[in-house]
Amino acid sequence: MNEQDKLQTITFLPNGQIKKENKDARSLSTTGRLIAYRDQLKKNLDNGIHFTEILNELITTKDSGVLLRSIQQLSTYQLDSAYLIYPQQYTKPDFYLIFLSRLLGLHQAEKLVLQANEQTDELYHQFPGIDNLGYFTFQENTDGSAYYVERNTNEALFFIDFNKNILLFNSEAITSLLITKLRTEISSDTLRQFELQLLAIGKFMKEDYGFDVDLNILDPSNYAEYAIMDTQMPQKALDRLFISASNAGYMLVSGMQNEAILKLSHGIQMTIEPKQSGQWVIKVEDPDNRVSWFDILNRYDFLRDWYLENLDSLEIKNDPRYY
Amino acid sequence: MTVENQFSLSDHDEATKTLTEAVTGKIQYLQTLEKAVNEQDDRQVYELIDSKKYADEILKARHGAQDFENEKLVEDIRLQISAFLSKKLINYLNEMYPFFYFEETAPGNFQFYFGNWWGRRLFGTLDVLNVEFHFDKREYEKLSKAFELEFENKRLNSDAIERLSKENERLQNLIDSQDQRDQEKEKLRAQIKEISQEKVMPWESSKQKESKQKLVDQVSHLTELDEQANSAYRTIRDNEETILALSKEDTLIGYEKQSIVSKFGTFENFEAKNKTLYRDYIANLIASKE
Repeated sequence: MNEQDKLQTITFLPNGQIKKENKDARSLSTTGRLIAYRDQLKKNLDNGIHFTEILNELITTKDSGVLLRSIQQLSTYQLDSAYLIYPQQYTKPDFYLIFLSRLLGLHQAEKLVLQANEQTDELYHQFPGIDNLGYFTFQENTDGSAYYVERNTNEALFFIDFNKNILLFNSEAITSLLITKLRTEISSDTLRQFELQLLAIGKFMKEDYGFDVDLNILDPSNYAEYAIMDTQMPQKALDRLFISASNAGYMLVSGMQNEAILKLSHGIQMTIEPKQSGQWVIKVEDPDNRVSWFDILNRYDFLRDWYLENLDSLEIKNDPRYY
Repeated sequence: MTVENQFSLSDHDEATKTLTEAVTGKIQYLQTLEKAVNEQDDRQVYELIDSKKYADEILKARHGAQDFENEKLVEDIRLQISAFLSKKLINYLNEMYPFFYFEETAPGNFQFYFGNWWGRRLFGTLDVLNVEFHFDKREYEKLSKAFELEFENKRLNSDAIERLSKENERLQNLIDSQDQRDQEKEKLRAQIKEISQEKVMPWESSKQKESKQKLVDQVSHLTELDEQANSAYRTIRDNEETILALSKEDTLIGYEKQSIVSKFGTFENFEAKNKTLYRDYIANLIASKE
């Protein structure tokens, strides 16, 4: 390879053409070099200034559209360069937390408290009532998407992608953290409040930004169908439910299509039935479209025990692409 | 051709008359049936299709009118009659036996389930023409037994469940004590080895053999327990499945008993009512017509 080749800048254009430019370093004078350096530095400083402008939007804007644009830009922003490195930085996961808090704040619905670790300055969320039993941060993927994770347990409660506009809740982690672990330590009312906060996040992402939101087991709609793991009728689990419901004073009945129906208090009805595809689902109906499968697990001890004991066949499925 | 010495034969006019009467009788029977059907007079239909039963049960007549010959005429349309009569009858039964759920398996054929709960049992078939339940013997037997056991404060499967639960407990202990057995075996084997290596006087050798045999026996007993423990997981699982099935049955029967008690007070009343079902139903038809 000769000297000439080394100094060539080769650009591969999208149309397949290859463009070569000669940049003969030997032809640059010292002044020329300095000017080139100055230009680079200025460019990078501008980049930093621009960053502060976006950051400023993230922190202060009252416009939810601007807020989203700021986080989308920050999610892929390259602040450091070969010319300029900023030693003091918040991480992308920190910005995501700020974003969530700001979004909730814009809707006067902020219950999560944004905290900073005194040693590391790292940000995290806490929830009143859960307090020190859980602290929440984002875990970033290389493509800018992220998981909202409880750090003690590493349970990822939801997945968010600011560039593909999706938000997916994780039934497995929600069950494991909130129902299996925390339910014994905190009140069901606190759990309900936390659930409402998660739902608020889903609601605002959907309504303000048109995100594709999968609320999974938090979905309170009567149309929500929670798909279970079992590929066939969960016979044993249903038999067990029949017995434990009876002990709890409820009767599991057979519907006309051989589906299993459990009428609970306050007009709440739970149905376990096959869809046309053969997939078995759990449905929860109530007069106000306010009760989700999560609420049932939170509210009814015998159903929570039943669900947890039969997880191998009943566990509500997640989107396998993200979990 | 001679007509002499022939047997005397029927008078043809007479024969014509007799036959006409017989045919007319049958036509009348069928016309009456037709009319009853058209007028939705189920009571009359019941009377026509089984006059003896009707007379015995309703009229309490010792020698009621019997009309077997005409009744044979409708033998091949019994299913249609059954389908026709089922409508009112099942409406009635739904009120009197609200816990039976009837299913028409073929036109005029009915089976029924006990209850609408999960895993409800198929409890028998309904004989519409005789207004009678044909209970599934096995299922009925269980229910009746469960009522008897009430006096002992037991459920049908309480004993079996208790036995299986105890066995599972024992097997679980067997599994849990594996380490302990392993240690014991090791100790015993060491002792056996020790004894084998001991030099003893000839007159002591039988005693030595004896104590060695004792130790060997202990080891083989422990090995036996090991084997049981090995298959215990499977047995425990099987037992758990059986317990589940039995508990489910107890729960089902519990609901059945509740249903009967809330409608009839006692099982005896229920059985008595079943016996007089035909009479009660016809009486109901008569009453509702008035």
